[in-house]
Amino acid sequence: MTSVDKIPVTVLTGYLGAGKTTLLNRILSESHGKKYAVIVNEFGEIGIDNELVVNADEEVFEMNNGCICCTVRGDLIRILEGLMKRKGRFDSIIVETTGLADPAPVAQTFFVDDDVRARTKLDSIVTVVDARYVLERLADSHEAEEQIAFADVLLLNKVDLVSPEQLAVVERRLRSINSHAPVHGTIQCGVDLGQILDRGAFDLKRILEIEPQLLSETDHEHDQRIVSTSLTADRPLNAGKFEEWIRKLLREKGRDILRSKGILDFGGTHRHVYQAVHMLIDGGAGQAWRPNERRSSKLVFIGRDLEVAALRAGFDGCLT
Amino acid sequence: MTASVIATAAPQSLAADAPATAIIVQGQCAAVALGDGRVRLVDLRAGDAATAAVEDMPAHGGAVLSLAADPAGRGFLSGGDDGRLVRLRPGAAPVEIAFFPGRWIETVVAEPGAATYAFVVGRQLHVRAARDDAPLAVLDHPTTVAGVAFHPKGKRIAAGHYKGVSLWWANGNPQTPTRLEWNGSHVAVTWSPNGKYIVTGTQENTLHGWRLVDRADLQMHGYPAKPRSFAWTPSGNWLATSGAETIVCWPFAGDGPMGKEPREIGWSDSLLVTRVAAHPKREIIAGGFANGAILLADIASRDEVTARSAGGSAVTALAWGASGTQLLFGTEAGAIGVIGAR
Repeated sequence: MTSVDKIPVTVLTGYLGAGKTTLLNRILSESHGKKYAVIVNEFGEIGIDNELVVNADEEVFEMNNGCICCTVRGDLIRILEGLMKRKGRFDSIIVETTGLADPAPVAQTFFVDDDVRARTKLDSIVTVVDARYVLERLADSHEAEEQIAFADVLLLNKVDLVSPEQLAVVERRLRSINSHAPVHGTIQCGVDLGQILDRGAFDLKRILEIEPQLLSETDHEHDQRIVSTSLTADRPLNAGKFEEWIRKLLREKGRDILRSKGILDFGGTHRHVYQAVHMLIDGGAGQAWRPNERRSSKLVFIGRDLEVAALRAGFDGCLT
Repeated sequence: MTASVIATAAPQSLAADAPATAIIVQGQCAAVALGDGRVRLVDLRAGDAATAAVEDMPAHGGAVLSLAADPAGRGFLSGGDDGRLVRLRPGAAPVEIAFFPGRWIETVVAEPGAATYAFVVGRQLHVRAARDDAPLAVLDHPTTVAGVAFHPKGKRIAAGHYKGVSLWWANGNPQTPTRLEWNGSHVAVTWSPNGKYIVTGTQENTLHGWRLVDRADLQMHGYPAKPRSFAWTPSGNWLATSGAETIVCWPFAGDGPMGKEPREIGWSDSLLVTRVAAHPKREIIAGGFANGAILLADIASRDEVTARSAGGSAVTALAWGASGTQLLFGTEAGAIGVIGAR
């Protein structure tokens, strides 16, 4: 089976009440002719009658493989395997997590389990955020912060319920936690589904650009633990040095570095695309550089208590 | 061809056009569970698939996820992703035994001795009397039960889950389970024919076993994939497993496999073995591969013969007829068939 046949999986996260179910109902009602399987945790909230709504128990298992922070969703592995036994294929699978869930085990399932990897691919993590209450949630819940940090796409929902000034504050705060995910302001999760489904955010072949939002230090709350930082270079990196550095870094700090992602110039004909969820790394050749294209490398880290100067020094140490 | 390996006739096709999820043989009737909700019953008395009577039973709304021989006789029990447990008999309409809306019945197992059967709904293992389907017990577990096996005499039942296996008495008496603990998620379970060992396949691509008399742990590493198909030879001396490029057979004669090497038979060019099935009378294992090939291999002589050549999709179901003259197979793409053997 080639990668073309792999079924894309979109993960929906978001704090309680942010609007995940609204978004799910929207996807199912607007899915003209598309066949989705939906894996939910709060069964019965889905308003659309769909035989392929599957109830999951959100069982997080530690892998007994010596990797200390390697957790997977055991129920998800079983459900995905079961779905593959059905005759007829799905265009897409959507996994809704509970409001208090840490997104890491879901994402790691797609890195760790070979049977899951053979049939499906993680497409993107979409986090729904309530514009009214997100700042309060960030003050009292680390899960809310982690869900934002993990996102490939952020849906800033209920924007009609806050003032433009409040909205600007919230947006700045989201970008300070996660600078690489696009933010879509929505009312009742009204978004073009093309902005959230089939994004290929984890598809190394499709990642062409990483455009982190530029931030100043003052955009962070002084007690904010999760931040983003991005590193760039115009000179090529040494592939061997980079591998060695990033592996050591994630071995030592991978608990606190939630996600990292990069498009790198190793001096070869193709971009090298790199990404990781905690300590689990995926990487490979991306798109070819065009002749005479101005090459550069960009690397983004999203994590707790990032030591930005040390990251910069390590990255610079990989330059040729 | 050496005398020790069975000669085979070309596979006879019974194409189903839906993924085969399981095959079970009971007497002269085989049942093939399919991914579109049907269970195809095949009368094996014809001896020739081309003329065999075939009956398609509309058993489930979605995929048929589990299948067992009905201990009440002359039929089968199937579980589906429509939450139903169904009884199937040739020439009769399917009968719903239980319905759990929104759940999947991924496991159903029957006691060979004919008094009880059991099925899994999430974290609960339901044990029922075969005679009248009366519930005997609903056994709770800390996490979802992923694999179940009866003791060969049927009095006890083992349920595999995260962090170990729970052993229960298969009756209605109030009880607390015996827990066999080991880290990781146990996704498949088998109980040795002599009742002395329980072996699981794990999420981490290992086999783990317990020798019940002294609770000694057996650890068997090195699988590239999860070992989840098991077959004990008729003597009980060998446990054949899927999950590697060969059929990996562990020696369970004497004091078990500790400190011993497995015997690897039926190598097939780095493709994984997906299903194994033991001949009912001889120490011969059939192995189905990820490329659709099926090999028969003699454990003692290591002789092997190709019973179905590579091509198409993975073998997802494999079972011998009771006499050992027919091997039934099914693939992910929906090829199903019978291979004659003698």
